[in-house]
Amino acid sequence: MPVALDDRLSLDVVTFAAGGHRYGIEASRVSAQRPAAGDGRPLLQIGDRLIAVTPPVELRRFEAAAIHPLPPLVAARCRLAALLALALDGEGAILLLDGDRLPEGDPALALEALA
Amino acid sequence: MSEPRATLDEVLTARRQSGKAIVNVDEPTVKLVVFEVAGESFAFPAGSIREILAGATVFFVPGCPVSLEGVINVRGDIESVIGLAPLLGLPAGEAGAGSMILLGHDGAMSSGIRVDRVVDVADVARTAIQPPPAVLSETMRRVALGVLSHRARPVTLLDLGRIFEDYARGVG
Repeated sequence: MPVALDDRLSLDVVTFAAGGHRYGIEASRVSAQRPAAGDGRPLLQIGDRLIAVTPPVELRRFEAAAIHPLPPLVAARCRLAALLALALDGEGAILLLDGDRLPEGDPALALEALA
Repeated sequence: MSEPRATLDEVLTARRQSGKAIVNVDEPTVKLVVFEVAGESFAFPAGSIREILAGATVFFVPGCPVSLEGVINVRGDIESVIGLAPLLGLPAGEAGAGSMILLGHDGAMSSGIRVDRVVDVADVARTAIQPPPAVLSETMRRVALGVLSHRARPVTLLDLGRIFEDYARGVG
């Protein structure tokens, strides 16, 4: 029997843009937002890594019902190894990423290349 | 000699029945969803199609193959949407105005499947389904359960489970 989703469950997510798409990382994994680097993009600190992202960078709260595991065929075929789940809002899909699995170097560039 | 007279009810009944094919009611039938992709006709067993969706908004997911259009929100659940043409070795076209998404499932696997047009949902006698002929391409033979004729057109009956399995392995 399916377990009912607790409607009090929610998740804080730091959202940002890259390559025309919206991404998010669990807020508890983001330790700081640092001032923009030379190219004007803000930097998110995740563990000991700095990730350059495209504004707007926002802290948002999603109800558990708005967060979805990847459909099996997306999980099987998507080349974005860091993709963990999808969140939906009125504007479409936000791709929730595993900060630890973002590509080395400039992850934002890698995301843009995939987008 | 006078023409036979009938009541209006009799005439209407005769008219309704005149266009119908004769079906042996004792013959086992299977319900099929018949559709078109790239100008060819295909079918899935209706039991593997949960819904037929028109006009669903597809959200693009970067990093996926072109044949994976994106995801749709089906009453709070997310489903992928794949195009069949690349898997069947057919030319992929733009989704036209009449295109629809079949929401298919097989075991734990489910996905939306983009088709150009849904032709019919029909009961077909099992005996009307023939084994896949040897002339089918290797790609098609792998996913074909059989062939039949529907509305005077050849239709290939597809194995949705095999399609999902192949797609997950990287085919298409």
